[in-house]
Amino acid sequence: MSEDQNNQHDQNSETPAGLKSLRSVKLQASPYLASRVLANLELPREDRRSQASLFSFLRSRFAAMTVGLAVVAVLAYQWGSHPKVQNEAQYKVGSPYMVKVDIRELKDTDIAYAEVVLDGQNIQFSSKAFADVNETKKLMISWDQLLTKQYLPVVVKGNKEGEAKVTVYFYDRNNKIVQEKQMALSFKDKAI
Amino acid sequence: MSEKLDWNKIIPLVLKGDRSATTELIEITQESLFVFCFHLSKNKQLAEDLTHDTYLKALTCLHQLKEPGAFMGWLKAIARSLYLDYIKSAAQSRTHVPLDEALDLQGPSRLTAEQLSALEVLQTLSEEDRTILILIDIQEVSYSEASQVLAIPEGTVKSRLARAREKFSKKYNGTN
Repeated sequence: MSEDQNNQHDQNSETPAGLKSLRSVKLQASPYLASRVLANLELPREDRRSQASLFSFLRSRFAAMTVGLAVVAVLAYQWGSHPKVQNEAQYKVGSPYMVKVDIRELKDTDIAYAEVVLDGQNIQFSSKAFADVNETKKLMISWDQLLTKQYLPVVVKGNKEGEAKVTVYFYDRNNKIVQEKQMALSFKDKAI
Repeated sequence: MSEKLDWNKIIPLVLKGDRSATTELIEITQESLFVFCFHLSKNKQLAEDLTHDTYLKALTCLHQLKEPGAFMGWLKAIARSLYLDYIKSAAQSRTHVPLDEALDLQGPSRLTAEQLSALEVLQTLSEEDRTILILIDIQEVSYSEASQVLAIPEGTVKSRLARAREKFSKKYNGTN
């Protein structure tokens, strides 16, 4: 037996039984992993974001999101399927709002992931648990995490008066945009 | 375990920006990396994020890989490093996630009692002990690859492995 084979033999003969049983546990990552990685690689370096802090915020904290908000104001707007600005709504500066993007019509489509983009200097994402989310203007969300949801929740906050837009792009496995939804928001200093 | 790849052929292609070579590299290695990230992080959601971030970092820094054949060990070393950074900065890393919720397994792929016990015991071990057991006893990598992932000499791998196995066995046999 070669030295490597000897080593491998030694390793296996002393492996505790419980650990041996774990060798057969089937675990698989998302089938869209390669697409997500390639899509992120194609972004400019400054726009690439670690998923561990951002995805976790949206994917594993759905239930906790409303608890974390200072203002619980849930807006269920039906977003249009065209990239036109619709339903401009007014919000108070400094207060976080959850905007729900209706994704029911997209359930049977071949979407791999969504990207939420904030357009405007006066708007930001809002998260108490993940402060770095507040500094970014783009968030990517894996579609397989949204399959059982009717809405994609986006929590935003205006930091000064003015207009802003929130656009959600839906990508297929080939990283092509298959759907786009946009909403205009107007932030005012005083309560509406 | 990943299928046999001709590393000396595929790595240069990926370095040149060949998209299908990059996709092939990810698809063939992702199972092994994901399993490693899962056992390390104890959480399926986090494992997916870590796997993604590991590839992102690895593919961005691929020119730093000295030996194409050492890709898997190098990849897992990056994953471990990202995990350690993550637990330092993320408050929720201290949260114990129930195993069923963490694994999100349904139907025929549900765990046996033995596997559940083993996973529960593994969760209680330190990151250092857990990593070495994951690499050698679950993923059956060589001492050489484990040495690369952990950045320690092979002799140290063997001695740490023996201690980690002893700790695991004491706890595991105490619960079974």
